[in-house]
Amino acid sequence: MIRVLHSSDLHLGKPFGGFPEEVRHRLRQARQDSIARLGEAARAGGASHVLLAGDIFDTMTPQRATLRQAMNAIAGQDDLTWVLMPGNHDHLGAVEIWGTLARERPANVALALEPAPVELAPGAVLLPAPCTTKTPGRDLTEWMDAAPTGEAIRIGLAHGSIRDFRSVEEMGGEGGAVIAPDRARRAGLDYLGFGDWHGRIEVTANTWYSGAPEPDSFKPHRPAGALLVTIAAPGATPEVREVETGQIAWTRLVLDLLEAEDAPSRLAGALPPLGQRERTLLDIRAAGRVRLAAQAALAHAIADVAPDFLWADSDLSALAVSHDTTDLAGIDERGAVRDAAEALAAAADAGDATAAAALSRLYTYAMDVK
Amino acid sequence: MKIRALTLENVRKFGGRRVSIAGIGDGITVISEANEFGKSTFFDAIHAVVFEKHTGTSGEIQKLRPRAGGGVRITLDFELESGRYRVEKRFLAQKGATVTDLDRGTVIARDGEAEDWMAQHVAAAEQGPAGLLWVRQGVLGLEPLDGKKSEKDRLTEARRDLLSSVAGEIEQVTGGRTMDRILRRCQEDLDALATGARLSPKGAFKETEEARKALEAELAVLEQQCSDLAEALAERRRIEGELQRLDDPAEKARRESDLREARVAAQAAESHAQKIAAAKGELDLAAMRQGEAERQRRGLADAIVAAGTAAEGLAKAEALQAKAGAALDDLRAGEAGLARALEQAVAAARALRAELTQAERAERVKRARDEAERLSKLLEEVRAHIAAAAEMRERIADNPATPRALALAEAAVAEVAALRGAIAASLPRLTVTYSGETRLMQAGQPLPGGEAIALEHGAEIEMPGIGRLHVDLPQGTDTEEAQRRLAMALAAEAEALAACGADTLSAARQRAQARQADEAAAKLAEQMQRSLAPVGVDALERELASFRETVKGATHAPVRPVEEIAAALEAAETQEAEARGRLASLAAQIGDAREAAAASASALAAARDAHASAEAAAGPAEDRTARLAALAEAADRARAETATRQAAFDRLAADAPDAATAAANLKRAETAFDNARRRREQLVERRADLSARIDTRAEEGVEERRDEVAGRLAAATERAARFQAEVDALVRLRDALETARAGAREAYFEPVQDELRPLLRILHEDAGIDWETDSIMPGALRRGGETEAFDTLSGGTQEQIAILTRLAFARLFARRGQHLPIILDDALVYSDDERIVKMFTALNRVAMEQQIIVFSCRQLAFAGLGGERPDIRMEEVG
Repeated sequence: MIRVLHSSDLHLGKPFGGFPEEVRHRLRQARQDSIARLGEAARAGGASHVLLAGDIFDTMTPQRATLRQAMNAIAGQDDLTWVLMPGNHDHLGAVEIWGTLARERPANVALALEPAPVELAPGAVLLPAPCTTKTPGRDLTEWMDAAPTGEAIRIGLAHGSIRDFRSVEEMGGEGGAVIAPDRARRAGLDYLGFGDWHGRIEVTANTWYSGAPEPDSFKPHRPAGALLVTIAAPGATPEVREVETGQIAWTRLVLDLLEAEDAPSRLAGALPPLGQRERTLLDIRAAGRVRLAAQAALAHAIADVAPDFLWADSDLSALAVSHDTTDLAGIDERGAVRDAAEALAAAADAGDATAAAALSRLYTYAMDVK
Repeated sequence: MKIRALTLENVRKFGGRRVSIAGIGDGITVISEANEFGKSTFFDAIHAVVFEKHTGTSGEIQKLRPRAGGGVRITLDFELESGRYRVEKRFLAQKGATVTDLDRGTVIARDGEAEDWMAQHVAAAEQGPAGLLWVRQGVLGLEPLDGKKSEKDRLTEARRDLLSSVAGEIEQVTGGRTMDRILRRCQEDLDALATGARLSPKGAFKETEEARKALEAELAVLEQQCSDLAEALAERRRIEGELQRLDDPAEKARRESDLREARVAAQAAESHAQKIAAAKGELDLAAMRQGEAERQRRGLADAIVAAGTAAEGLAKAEALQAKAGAALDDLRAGEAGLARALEQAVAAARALRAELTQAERAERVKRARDEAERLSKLLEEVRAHIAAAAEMRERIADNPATPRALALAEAAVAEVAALRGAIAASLPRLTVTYSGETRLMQAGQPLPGGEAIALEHGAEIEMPGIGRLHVDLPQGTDTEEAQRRLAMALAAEAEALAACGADTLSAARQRAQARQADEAAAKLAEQMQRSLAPVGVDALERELASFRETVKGATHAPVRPVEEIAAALEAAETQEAEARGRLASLAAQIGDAREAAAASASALAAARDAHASAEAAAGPAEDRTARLAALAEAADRARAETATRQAAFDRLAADAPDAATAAANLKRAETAFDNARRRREQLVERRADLSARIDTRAEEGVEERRDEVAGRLAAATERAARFQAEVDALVRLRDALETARAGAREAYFEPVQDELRPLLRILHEDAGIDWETDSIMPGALRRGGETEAFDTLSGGTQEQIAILTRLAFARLFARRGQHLPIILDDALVYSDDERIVKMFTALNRVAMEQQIIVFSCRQLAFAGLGGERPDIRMEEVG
């Protein structure tokens, strides 16, 4: 029996340039801290090894401090053995990473730099498929089929796509999937752990993407974490348990509003609990159709709750705004202001987004001056 | 609406009293009372009962409370198209409101419903103009600043207040304050983000734009650095692969073996080449010996022929030598004769030249002598003129009678004569007619008879036989003055004559004539002097001395004429030149002959040398044939030796390996070996360089920085786009508001203008109003072809325009079926007497259709307004 913690895609050193400086710092620190949290999860789960399936570092030439601090953090988890394998971001061509680690790695670190069996423990062998380049263009796991491991438990470790998770638009006409989805079956693996996809995915009972230990996008993934994998014996179905390790939540709220709905109430109901907000990045996307007043109220409500969060942004551009005489009367009963409102409303109805924005602004001003 | 009656109970000044005004008519009603009577209380009460809710506690309502306190009751009777009504409101205590239909005598609404009824029927500010049009003192914008608002805002608000009763209508139509505030907010927000006509980014927008551009630039640099880094990494991988191949042991052994084999082959080829070189040396030596033998045989044969030829040449040279010597001797004999003839010609010419010199000197002496004589005479003449001129100048100096002095003397004499004539003319005349011989005597002289004789003061006339007649004329001021002037004239006359060196005028004239004659003579002498000696006497004397020096010591030896001597000399010199020419020609011939002689002598010497050499080379003549045969035999032997050596060399050359190929192969092998070594060194060096660069970039974390900057750039770009969208929306909103306001203004104020125009003409012929674009208030007055800003008009004119504008609104509303009472509270305080009468005319014109209620303390001034003047009844209340 062997029990390992499967993780990947730490992307240490990722800059998160799209955020303000203080948020960037928090995000980078959270990724650095994920090593300790993985160690704790492994220890808590009784695992002996932590298998990192690639993209441990975000770039091929991370700053030396990033490299050293990561190794120091791993060295601090010396009751565990850490197996590090190159991914597409930190592939074998990243001599600065792997050359340095080969010279300076802590005693509890094993580097999986060649497609050759590595004995994890008596009776358990790891078959790694390290990325040779950013886009190898071939199935690096193919060698596993013929790898001799005797009667030992066979654990595969790979990085890449078994199917393309991207949309057609994202692919730009190129397919990225080259790894056989049934590699575990073909190679007789008891477990095949993948990296590359940042969300956790169960492909088959013994083929999993662990996902990243710390989220890095607003995509609707399962909570960030790792997989505690227990294999009782060769040929046994592995027991896979998901453990959460994420520190900062990336929450995208999609408010698809109806005209009759109370938009601020919908927002309030969808927000995370107060205690979580300080470590949450909030991205609000409003869609649907509301009245002018509701739009103004929603914008006001968003502005009101934004300071609760580590970072908050909103996009109401997909939110269609409707208006009738009551709404326009809210701006003014009659007169030139009302005339301007009606002119803008007509243009907005004709699809003029600038006019729609101007009308919303006029509504807000009118409310303020009243 | 038309107000008919007003009752105030316990209101402000009228605490504990009930005050009523009844019988208010359709046209003008004037309530004219002294100051402090409480007119403004009436005014405020009307305002409160129409516009304030009975439940209100605002400042306006609090002001209605009397000092003694208690509730306030206000009752207003009015007419609407639907009938006559009364509204009664109790404020502050026992609050309540009722509306009574006076025609039916029934209360139709109470409290809240009464307020709603009023709002609907009277104070319809929300739906249209308020029920009243107000003109109130203190809202014309002429009051002192309160120090809080800007002048423009204050004036704008004051003018709005002036039109407060139609403000609702204006606000509704043009947006009014709401429009102002929204536009101001919109512009403020726009100003925070954009500036200038082109709406260039400003503030946070500008900062974002600048940050975006900076990030773009930074990203470009980082992209380049990352690209360089990627290239460096790729190149290092290639280098390491190549180094691996170079360091491969099998490849290394192959390169070394190749080099060894090439070296062995090259050494073998070199050894064979040395053997060939030795054979070649022996062959060359044999060929050299053969050549020498043949050369010796040919040399002897040639020497024998040359000895014969040299003997013939010697004989010819000797003959030529003898001939040249004879020719030279003949020429030298001719040269001696010519030399003697030349010597004679030279001597003759020399003698003639000496004679010519002597004759020329005699000529010069003669000319000098003649010239000295002429100059001597000229000098004497000149000196005589100098002496004459000096004498005349001396006499002129002694004669002061210049023409000016003479003219002064003549004038002085004439002055004396004139004065004397004048004095004499004034003297009494005595005419004596003698009858006998006895004569009267004066100064010993008898007085002539029959002629008038002037009698001077103090004159003594002896009358023989009778006595003496003493003339004693009266001495007045004129006489004394005449005498004084005469004395002065006489003194001047004496002085002028003395200046001429004379005591009489005739003497003075003679002296002047003499002076003129002397001056003419002096000028003539000086002119002669200058004419005869223009260069001066000294120059003439020096010239004379020079001629005398030439003459001194000269003899008078007789000589031939110069021309004759010169002709003889010319002939002699011609003979000399001819002799010299012939002699020179002969000398040239002699030179040629000498050179010919020298050449033949040289040729003779050469022929002798050649002959001797040829003989020496050929050797003794007796064994010449034997020696020639021996040399021919030796040459044959040498040729045979050379053939043998050539055959041996050819055999070796045919067997030689390809040395060039072996050398080329060796060179190739060595080059390949060296190249591999050098390539390895280069690669190692390049790898070290690349590693250093990669380490540097890695340490800088350029990829992380690139990703970070790319993220920041994306965020900045999105932020800038949001700002731009916001600016676009604000511009769109501003434009929409301004367009709507402009349209509303045009639509709304045109009818007002139509109503205002005839009213305005009562005050100002051909006047018109321009409305302010932003505030939509009267902005300027046009009159007499000029436009004056409202703010620059006098207080009276502003007030008049404000009231007329209100009246125009009232007329407009009246035409729409809305009859609004116009209430003036102490209005027209700034208007002069002439204008106030015109304003009364305007008010009366409007009053034909509108009810106007005027409160005024100016009882006299408003007497001309006309209208009804109802009684004010006042009574105490319990």
